[in-house]
Amino acid sequence: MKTACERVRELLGRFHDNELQDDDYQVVVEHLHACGECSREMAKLERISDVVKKHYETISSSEDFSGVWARIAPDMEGLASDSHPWWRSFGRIFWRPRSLWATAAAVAVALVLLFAYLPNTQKPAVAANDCIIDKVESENSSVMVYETDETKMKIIWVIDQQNGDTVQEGVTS
Amino acid sequence: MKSVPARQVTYPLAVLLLLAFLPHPSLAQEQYPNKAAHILIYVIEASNEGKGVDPQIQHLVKEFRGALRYSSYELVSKIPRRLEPGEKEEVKLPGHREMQLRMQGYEGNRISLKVEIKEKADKGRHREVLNTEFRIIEGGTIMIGGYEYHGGKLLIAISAK
Repeated sequence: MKTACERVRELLGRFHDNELQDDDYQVVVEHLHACGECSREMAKLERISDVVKKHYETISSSEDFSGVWARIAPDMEGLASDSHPWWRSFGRIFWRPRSLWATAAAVAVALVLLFAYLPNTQKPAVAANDCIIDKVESENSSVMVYETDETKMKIIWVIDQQNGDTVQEGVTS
Repeated sequence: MKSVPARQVTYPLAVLLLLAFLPHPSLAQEQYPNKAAHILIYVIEASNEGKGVDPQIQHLVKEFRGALRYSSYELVSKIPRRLEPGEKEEVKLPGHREMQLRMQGYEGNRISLKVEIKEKADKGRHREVLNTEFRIIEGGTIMIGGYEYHGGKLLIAISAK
């Protein structure tokens, strides 16, 4: 069975850090008033704590953490609130090195769509002489329309029936 | 490999697709340009009486020679015209014929033209021998032919740009 001193010494660390429940805190305070050995143990713990604290303060005062904070702060704000402007998160996406490959992939996909698939941007290949004939009429003549094989030139050939034209000797097809 | 959040890909892709679907400024300009067309009319006599091609029209004859088999091509006249959209012009052709040319406007990269050819008939009257409307690509040429002329045929090449 544990003695009162053993039980109090187990609680000393948490007592020093002020982490004890009220009833345990009261037990430790009363015991320290009554027990010199545990009081000395407590004093020793406080001295060690002071030494560690002073050493940490000496080190931290010689270091400049302002740059670290400047980098962390925007992310902290972003996490704290969802109301940040859209362009800010958009900008971060573009400027983070880790997302560069993803951005490049997105650009490539968009360019492929832009130049290969979107109908608005597609220009069909047309022959140099390409011509759409909407209307051909003649009062007294027959009209033949044809196209050359290679150059796709449209030829409107009028066959004058009044002058007795029949076969067009110069026309090949 | 480290996974990348979907939004890092989705946001740029969505914006770029949006930009891609926006009407391209150069296409918009092409759609309804209010500019004049330069029309060049070559009046050519084709026959089997001579041999050879007039050097001035060699480039043109090369384009339709596969379809017509005449041995001689001579340039009768070369008529340049500049027509604003809606403007029309009359051109005298050999054999008491006249051609009325009307520039109807642009449709994309095509020039819309209306061509009427009339011929002098009996008692000073004219008869319409051709009435045609077409949309030719800028820089293209269309050929109209078949009219009797000096024992050969009259060809009219119309280039527009």
